[in-house]
Amino acid sequence: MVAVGVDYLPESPHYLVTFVAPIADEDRSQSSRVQSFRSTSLAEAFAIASHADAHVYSYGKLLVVVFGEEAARQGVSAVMNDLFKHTDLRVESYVAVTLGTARKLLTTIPAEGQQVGLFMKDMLDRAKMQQDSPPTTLEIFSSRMMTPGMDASTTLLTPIGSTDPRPPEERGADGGGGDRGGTGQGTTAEDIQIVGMASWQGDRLVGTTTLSQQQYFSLAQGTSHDFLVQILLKPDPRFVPETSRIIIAIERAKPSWETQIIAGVPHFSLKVDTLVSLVNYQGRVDLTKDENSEEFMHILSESLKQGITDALLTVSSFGSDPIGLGQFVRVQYPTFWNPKMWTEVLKTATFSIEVKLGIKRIGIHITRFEPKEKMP
Amino acid sequence: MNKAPKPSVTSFQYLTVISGVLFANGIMSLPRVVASDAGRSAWLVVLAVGLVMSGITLLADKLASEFPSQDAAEWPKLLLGPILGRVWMSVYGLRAIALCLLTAQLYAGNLSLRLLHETPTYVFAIIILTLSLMAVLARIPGFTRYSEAAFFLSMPLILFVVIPFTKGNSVHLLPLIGDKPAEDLFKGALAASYSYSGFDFLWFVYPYLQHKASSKLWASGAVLLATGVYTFVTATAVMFFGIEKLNIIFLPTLSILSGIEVVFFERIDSLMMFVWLSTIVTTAASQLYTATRLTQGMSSRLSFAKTAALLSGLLLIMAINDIPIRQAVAFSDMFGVFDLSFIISSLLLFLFLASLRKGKGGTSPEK
Repeated sequence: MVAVGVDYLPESPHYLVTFVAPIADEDRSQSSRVQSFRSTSLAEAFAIASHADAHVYSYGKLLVVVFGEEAARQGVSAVMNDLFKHTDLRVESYVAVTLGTARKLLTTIPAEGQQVGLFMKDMLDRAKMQQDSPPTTLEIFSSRMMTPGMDASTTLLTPIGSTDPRPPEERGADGGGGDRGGTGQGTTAEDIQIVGMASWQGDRLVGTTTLSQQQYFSLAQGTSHDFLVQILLKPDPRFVPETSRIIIAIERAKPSWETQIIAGVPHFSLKVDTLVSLVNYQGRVDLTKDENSEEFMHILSESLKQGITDALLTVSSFGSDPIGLGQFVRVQYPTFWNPKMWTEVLKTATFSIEVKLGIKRIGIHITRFEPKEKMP
Repeated sequence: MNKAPKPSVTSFQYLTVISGVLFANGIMSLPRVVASDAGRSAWLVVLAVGLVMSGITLLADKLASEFPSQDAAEWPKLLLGPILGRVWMSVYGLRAIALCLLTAQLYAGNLSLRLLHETPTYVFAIIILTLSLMAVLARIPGFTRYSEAAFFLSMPLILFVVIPFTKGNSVHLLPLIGDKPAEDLFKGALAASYSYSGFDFLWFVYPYLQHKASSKLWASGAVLLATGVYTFVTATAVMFFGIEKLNIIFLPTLSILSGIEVVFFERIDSLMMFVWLSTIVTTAASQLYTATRLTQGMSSRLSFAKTAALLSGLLLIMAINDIPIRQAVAFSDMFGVFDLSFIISSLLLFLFLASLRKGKGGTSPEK
């Protein structure tokens, strides 16, 4: 198996398990490339698939495990148990959540006919290199699932795009949505996109964030490096005359956390030391002058601070703790620490953020090229 | 041994055979076994126990040095007398036989569980026992040369644990002390000590040692090496999995290795399982050798090779039994208590008796 998708349906048997296995998709028609089974568990579906195909399937080459949004919200510990029963399980497989159903995601036929499991692995490998998203593996996911005061965050995906020329009302069910007998009817997506981050609490999905929020969260987590952040600034004829949007490249972001318990409420202070480079600076101000660059750095740092605060408050409101703040409390305040209550306590936590920003490259040496002498 | 054996074992071989006997199946489950009692302080407990065992090994070496040309199949009769000495040797011999069989069965169970599910465990146990017999028949000089080769084969694989160590989260190790009460730390220490069992084999190697003057250094060095490896693996397991997940993984050392993916090899854990066979044979063969020499010590007319073959045959017959791994583990937990207390109490008794004997000026060996 190179990819496994798990969906949860309201009627029993609740699970719709989708397998992508190389032997099933070599030179076969699209509709039979991916196999889906209704079952009471992943183990049952695996046994059915093995029996039906008369093949010895293995998780030794697994690339990605995808949970449909509803399946993730129901809790995935049973699925994890069924996966880890196999001693040959490839624990470095990625774990992802998809909007909609996993079946729709796994029936995507990427461009150039690349196999969907490999396509997703390549995409998540790139995300890991570029720190675009948290490409959590099964090993990391299962450890964080088990550890109080620490939760997992995974990539949030969605299938997009279609070359189907028919109007939407004629396309039928949404990707063959799992309860249509798996015949592959309906729209077939052509691409898969990372759209944000899925936040977990134990073995349940508790919330999702946008890509922008996920980027700010990465800054707080210390997992951001070399990615681009788009910031919307207030109109300012000096720094952003053409557009209010500025794109910066994060060269370095080093967070440091301090924990306090104030009147029974945890308070976390975060200092983020960042170094950024400007990508599309078009201001009329000479940033080589200290007073100008300091003012601009202050504007950018305030914006980052706001974004980080918003991201932290959003994720903590879910009761999810991907940073592992609970572990800081456990170590520093062992008498206050209560693992069973941490989810609720985290929702009351307060944060104070300080961003120290430095600019490495301003994108241009002086100001801007403007051939004034040659203007008509 | 009617005449003094020819010194042919180098100091490094002394180290490799002692450390090879210590490294067996214990390393596979050690992090879980200790952490289940000692919690986040598991690696400190393993380290502390190792330092204590290193000191005990020095005492064992000192006892061996009192009888430079005789092994533990002979000097117990001098110290305890012919009858009591033989009684002690019988118990020690039975312990060796049980350990040999247990070592083979545990490894066979682990191999069957992780890799070769359909093959009966006794197939692997028979392979180990057969290889052990071959190692024993090479006598101490040949056996120690084998242990040296096994050392170089197995040790580099442990270095792969550096990769998960760098991926671990150090917050899982905190607090260093205070996570668990003292009695739990003691229970963890007791569990950790079973993994240091086997150092007494030096009583059979010492007479063959070339440079006896530096034997203490190399003997304690062997135990310290094992201590370092055990501590590193335990700390890595705690950091990598976290305490809660670690407690549900049966063989955490193998699980750590299963997540390592390198360009030239996909499953480091399966490679480790096969290469580790060489170290398991060192352990099993040392116990088979012990049992053979002790049996020979009962009556000097017994041939070494025939005794070894006979004992090995008995073990092979006992091994033809598909024992579930969890049953073997439960037995080894119980056995560990007896093993440790028997060896340490014997060591202290013999040191006392040897000092008394020295004081009386006794030197002639029994005929």
